[in-house]
Amino acid sequence: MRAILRVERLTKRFGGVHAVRECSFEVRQGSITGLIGPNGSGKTTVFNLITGMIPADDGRVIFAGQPIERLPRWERAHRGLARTFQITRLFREMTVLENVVAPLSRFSWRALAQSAVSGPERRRAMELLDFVGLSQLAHRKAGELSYGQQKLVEFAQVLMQEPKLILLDEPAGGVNPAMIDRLAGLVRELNRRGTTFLVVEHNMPMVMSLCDPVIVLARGSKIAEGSPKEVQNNPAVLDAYLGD
Amino acid sequence: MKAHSTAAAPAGNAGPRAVRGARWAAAAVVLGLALLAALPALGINQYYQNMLLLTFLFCVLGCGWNIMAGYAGYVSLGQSAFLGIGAYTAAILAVRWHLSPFLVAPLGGLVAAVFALAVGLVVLRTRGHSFVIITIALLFILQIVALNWPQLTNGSTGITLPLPPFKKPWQTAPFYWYMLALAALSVWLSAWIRRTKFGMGLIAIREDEDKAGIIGINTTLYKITAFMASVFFTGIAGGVYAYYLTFIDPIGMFNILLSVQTVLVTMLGGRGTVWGPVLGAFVLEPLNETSYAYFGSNQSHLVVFGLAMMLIVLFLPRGIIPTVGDWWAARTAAARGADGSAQAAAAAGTAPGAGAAGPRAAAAAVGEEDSA
Repeated sequence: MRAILRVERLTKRFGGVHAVRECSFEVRQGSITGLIGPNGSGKTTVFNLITGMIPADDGRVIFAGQPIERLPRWERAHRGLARTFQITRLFREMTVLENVVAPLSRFSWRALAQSAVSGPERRRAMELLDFVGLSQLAHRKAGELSYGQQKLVEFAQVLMQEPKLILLDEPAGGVNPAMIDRLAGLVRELNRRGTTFLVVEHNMPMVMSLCDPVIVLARGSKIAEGSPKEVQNNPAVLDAYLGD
Repeated sequence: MKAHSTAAAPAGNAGPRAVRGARWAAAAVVLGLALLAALPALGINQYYQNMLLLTFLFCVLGCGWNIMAGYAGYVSLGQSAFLGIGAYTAAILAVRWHLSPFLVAPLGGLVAAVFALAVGLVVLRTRGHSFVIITIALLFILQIVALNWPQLTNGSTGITLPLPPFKKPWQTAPFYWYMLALAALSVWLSAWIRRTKFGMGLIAIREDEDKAGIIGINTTLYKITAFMASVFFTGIAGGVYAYYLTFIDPIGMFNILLSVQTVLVTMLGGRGTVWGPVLGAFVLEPLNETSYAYFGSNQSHLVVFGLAMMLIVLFLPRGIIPTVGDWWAARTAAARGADGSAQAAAAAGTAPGAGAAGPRAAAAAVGEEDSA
């Protein structure tokens, strides 16, 4: 199977600290790939580098066959890359519906002049809110929702971009178990329809049931990769989590 | 802001009551405009005509500033720099080409927009506070340039514009109407932007600029476009204002006090709302004139500004329109609660019910999408 995302020797230093060090890995098209590692191993930094939140010091990011490491973040989004955040980030003063229609999958001057919430986009957004089970809250302010509900809104927002690859940063963090099951169900459903996922997650049962393969980072580089079973039994992984 | 974001959302499924409300609002605006336009013909005296003209000027400045500061969240202290650019453009061209400043005033708007583009290309590529500093710097740099480039600007001597040809009692009415039209266009532009995807993108930038970029919004282009839109009518108003004064000089035209007053006007009315700057202008400008009238033409109106600023920050940090809007919403919600109407109960019930009903609704939705 071909790789939708290839990270090559990605490097990022903060002062003297190597947050990400010559990190290389691939995400197979159509997979739900897990990205795990102890705290401070550079998982979120890798996400930030891939999506262009921060510039890389060195290395390449190849997405759908094209280098994207020099593109601004909106260009990367237009190419089909989307992400959620560890701490959900919504436009709190906007309504839930406005949040979901806000993403743009391409740029055009004409689209800018269109009504903010209208037409097919509005319908699509309502469908997505239905999909995550929040259509009753469409006209509430996003900031008024519970944390779990905000996560679902962010999920719908990401889907509005019709991305090829979705990076999920701790989707289960701070969410109750019922909601975790629901999120995992949505991810599987979307994956079945062709969306690829790269998931950073600390909740090991979720990672082990959802992801295959699993990539393990430690100190900013990949130390292991394989099926959940293989990774669990890998001595280097145990060492990274429990060692030093 | 609040009132408008909620008003924008349900527009698609707006009931007949909302449609009727919008029609009444539109009718009120047209009526108000017609009334203001008729005032010179009704023989309003010069003092009030001048006061209203300056009020319109502050509507133009405030609505412009609001696009950048209210929608996109980028506060500038240089709005009056673009008034000066427009004034000087119109004055210089009118004198050289022997044309009416009224005719060349729109070019002042274009020149102001080009300046905004140049400044924006430098400073709006990044985020944060450099914008406010750069806009103050722009104001003072332009003042220094105007003082020290006599070949172009006549330096500190200033430029005397052609005398207006209008005869009594219509001496100042054309200025009044021109400024009124610019104020109306400024409100229209601001309202239009607020309704569009462009406006929603600006608000996304204000709320969380990094996130806006991540979901595909070209933040740099949005900000630069917004900056240009925010100074265009201000530039035109500069030409009209210069003609009205018939004399301009660098100190009067690149005046930071006008920028401060622009900020004040918008903050008072409600930053980020369409009508906030208008309301603010209609409150503050008359207050300003009154303080001149009472205390004379010394610096005492500055004390009035200072007090007004303090009171706004302390008691109305979000401005009149959002505060009153919230109060009204709370009041009607309370009234509905007191009615105990089924509708209110149902509306309140959706919030806690959502979590429980969610998974089933989601499952149903998935099924639907698959079959579609």
